Amino acid sequence: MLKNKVLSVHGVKISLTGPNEDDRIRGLPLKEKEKIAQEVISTAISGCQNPYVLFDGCKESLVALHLVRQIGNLDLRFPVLHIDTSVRFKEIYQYLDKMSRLWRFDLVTERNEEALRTLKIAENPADCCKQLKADALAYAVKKHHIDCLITGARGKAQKTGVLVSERDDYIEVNPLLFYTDRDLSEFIKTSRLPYCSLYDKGYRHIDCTPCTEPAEAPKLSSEDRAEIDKKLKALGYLG
Amino acid sequence: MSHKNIVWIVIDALRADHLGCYGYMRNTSPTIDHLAKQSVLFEYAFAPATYTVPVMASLLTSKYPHHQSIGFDQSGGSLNPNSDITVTEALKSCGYQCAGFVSSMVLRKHTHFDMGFDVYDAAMTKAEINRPNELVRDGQETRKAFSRWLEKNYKDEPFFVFLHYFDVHGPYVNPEPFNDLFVQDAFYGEARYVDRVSTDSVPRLNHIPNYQLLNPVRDGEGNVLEYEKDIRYYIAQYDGGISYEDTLIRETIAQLKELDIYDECLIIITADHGESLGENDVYFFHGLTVTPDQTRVPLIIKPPKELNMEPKSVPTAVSTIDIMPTILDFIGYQYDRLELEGVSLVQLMQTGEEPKEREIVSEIEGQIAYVGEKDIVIKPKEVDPDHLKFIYNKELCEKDVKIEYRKKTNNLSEPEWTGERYHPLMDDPAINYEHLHRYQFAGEFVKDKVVLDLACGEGYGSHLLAGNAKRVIGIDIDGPTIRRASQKYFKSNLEFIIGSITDIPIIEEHCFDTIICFEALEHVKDHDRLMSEVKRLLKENGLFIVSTPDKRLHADRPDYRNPFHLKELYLQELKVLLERYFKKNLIYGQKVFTMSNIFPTSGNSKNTKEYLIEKENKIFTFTQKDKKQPLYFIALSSDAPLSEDIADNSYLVDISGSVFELQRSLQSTISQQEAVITEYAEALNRIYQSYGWKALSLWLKVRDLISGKNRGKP
Repeated sequence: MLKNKVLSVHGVKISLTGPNEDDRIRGLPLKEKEKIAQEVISTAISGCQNPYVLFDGCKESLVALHLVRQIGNLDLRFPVLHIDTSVRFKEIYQYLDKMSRLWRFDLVTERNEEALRTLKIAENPADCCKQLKADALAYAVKKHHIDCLITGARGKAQKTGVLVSERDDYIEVNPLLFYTDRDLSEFIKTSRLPYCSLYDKGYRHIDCTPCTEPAEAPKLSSEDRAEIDKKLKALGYLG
Repeated sequence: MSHKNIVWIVIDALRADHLGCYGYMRNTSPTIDHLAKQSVLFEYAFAPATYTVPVMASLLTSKYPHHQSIGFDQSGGSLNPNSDITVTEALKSCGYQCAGFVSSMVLRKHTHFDMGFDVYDAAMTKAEINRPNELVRDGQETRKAFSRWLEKNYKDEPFFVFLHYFDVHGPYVNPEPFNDLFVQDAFYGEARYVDRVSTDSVPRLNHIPNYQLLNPVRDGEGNVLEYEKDIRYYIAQYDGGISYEDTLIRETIAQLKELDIYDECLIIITADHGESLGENDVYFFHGLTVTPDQTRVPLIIKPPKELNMEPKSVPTAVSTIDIMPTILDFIGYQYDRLELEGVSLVQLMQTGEEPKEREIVSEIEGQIAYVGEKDIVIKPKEVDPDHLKFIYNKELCEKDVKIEYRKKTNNLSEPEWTGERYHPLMDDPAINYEHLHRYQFAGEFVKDKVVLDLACGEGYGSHLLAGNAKRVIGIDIDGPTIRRASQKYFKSNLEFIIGSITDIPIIEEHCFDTIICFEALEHVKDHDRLMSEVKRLLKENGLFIVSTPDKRLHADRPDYRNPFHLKELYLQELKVLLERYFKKNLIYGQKVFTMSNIFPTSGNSKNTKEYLIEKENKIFTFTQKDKKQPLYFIALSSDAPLSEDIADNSYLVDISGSVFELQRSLQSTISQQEAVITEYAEALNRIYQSYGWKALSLWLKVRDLISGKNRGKP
């Protein structure tokens, strides 16, 4: 049913399951991208029995989670899945707990316990990631009979990825496929979404602690910087 | 979920007991008092700590300082965005637009108090007079910032506004006319001076901290040469700051009304902490102890009108960390996952049901107060002097203290009986009958009417009328009496104002359906002036109900002159007076008689028969109707036709039989005294009959004969 589904926004055709190579999509205003994302989520979940949202505490999954809330009139109707590698930042663990209490959802946490007993963390990062993330996810999908997983995936998938990808056991929904870094920041800022404080310490991407570059703390928060720029501009300094 | 607009106002350093609605002697807060009458007022609300930043963190998270990330850190602390959850974030998560406007730099963004706010305006505009590095914002500027935001946003999603005012906080410097409002007023009292100054970081007992100095004169290096030392002046200025804040709240309410969003708005007024104004020899400081001067704060919650909550005053002790769960409960947010330490007060407001038992505490680094049902028990805490986050005064904190906090410490105690002003607690049943019957009688004529109750005194009568009327305003010239009435009687349609009944401070004309003036006419010399005011305010064809004693029976017959009565009237004089102003006048009589009531058990009878009895020569006999003479007259006057049967005979029946109770009590006292007298008489008689007494009497007589004392007497 999803295979031939095409959305039309401002004359731009958007395929749900095929690649979208029209560059105009990335240039759409954020509000339009938000509508597309919501439409994608609504369409994808409409035929599913047991959808889950993947939430790892990073900005991408935060926005995806909030989009799902918006569809439910700010009420989260689906369970939220966290794949725990057990070596994430303590701030992330605190934040995940906070969000589950604030947005009132049950956080279903799954780990690859077997791998955690035997694996030497980060010795072979690709293998480590496979075992602690991909294998743990596959296990969770089976365990919870997940037939639809909404993620915050973007990155490399932007050009070649698809909004809804059909996997063996479930469909993966990537509503943020067209979101840029800037879109994400703007969305979080305008919606005043609570985000993990590590971003204010200069981290751009937050993975597990062994594989995340330590950030140099910015002297000024981005908000303060913007405020100062605004004042300087008003004084003619920045033209 | 029910999305209501919410306005939460926090007035920094405002003590509850300096507001009129909490019984203060000065008229510091007419707007807040008025708001309180449409609200639920919590008589005993306690702050979780006594200085701003820890308290704010606790208010916003509903956690005591130990369980939120700021703890007791006033200057460097901040909430943890990863773990602390604020009321703002909870409201934001429900779709609220959230705006905060604060007035002190201590609440700036580094505290993360801005979490969840769409707008968090912490722009300060001026420096304190004694601390140039401490930046604050004048309340009017804060209010205007809020007002501009509201104008733009009130039509959109529901809003949550957090307003923080700093104008009551020291130094007590107020704009005109608030800088002169209470100086040298009737409550200024005896002069008291404190002539020593302490630094701000090491405050000392019986010293004024440097940052609080008023009217300081300094030399070029900033040393203080002169300053105000009179304590009365400081307190008058503190009160002036409250009045200034009150006008800002008046303007805020006016704007909400203008935008037609006032009625359905949830409004909360409270303070972060109180202020010591000399208690325990602490002058003009907070954060030093957890005594009630610093912990007891106002808490007034005006619910949305559609909830139909009865305004009331609640004596249950509560904490201001209860505000967050109360707000969330009001909008239907399930907050059980937030593990809040406060409890919702909605049930208490709605049904009077007490919250589940919990511990209410106020705490600073060196001291903790446990608030019990009647007492506050204060205990010292162990401190680590190297890691203190705020000022610590060992002398003040080291003792165990127990304070009976419900003991009236206000300036407005119950009035002493002067022989004139009626109070419902008076023992004499006859006086109770007279006053209650009059108001009950008048109540028949005020259904759905707008009523003015002249010389309302204690307020019981206005309160009775408000049960039937659309709206009642009680007016009395005595300020403390009116403030007590405002505090005691809560109804959304009832208001008390201070003013003279011959110069009524209501500008609008012909706005009352009914004006009542019981037992006040005789206190006024210029009856025409009073009547002119009545005619000015009464609607066309409105009803004036007046009572006054009959001079013949009240003064002439007992030959008694009441020193409070300036002009009493005979029946004919009353008629003439009323006829000059009203076309139709019906004059009734009132007197308390001892009576029995025979009545059908099935319900009220329309036809009442009256039998008069009289006691003559110890025997009751039936007597003629014309012998039933009133002690008071009650007149109904109007320019509209008044039918004779507008009011029938009416009876007030005291089912508790207080007259007889009084009689029995007096009889019992008399009997006891008679028994004592008899006992003494018998003892005296035994003495007279004794040989000793007889011998003594004989000896005295012999001595008198010898000395010739009784010589010449018959």
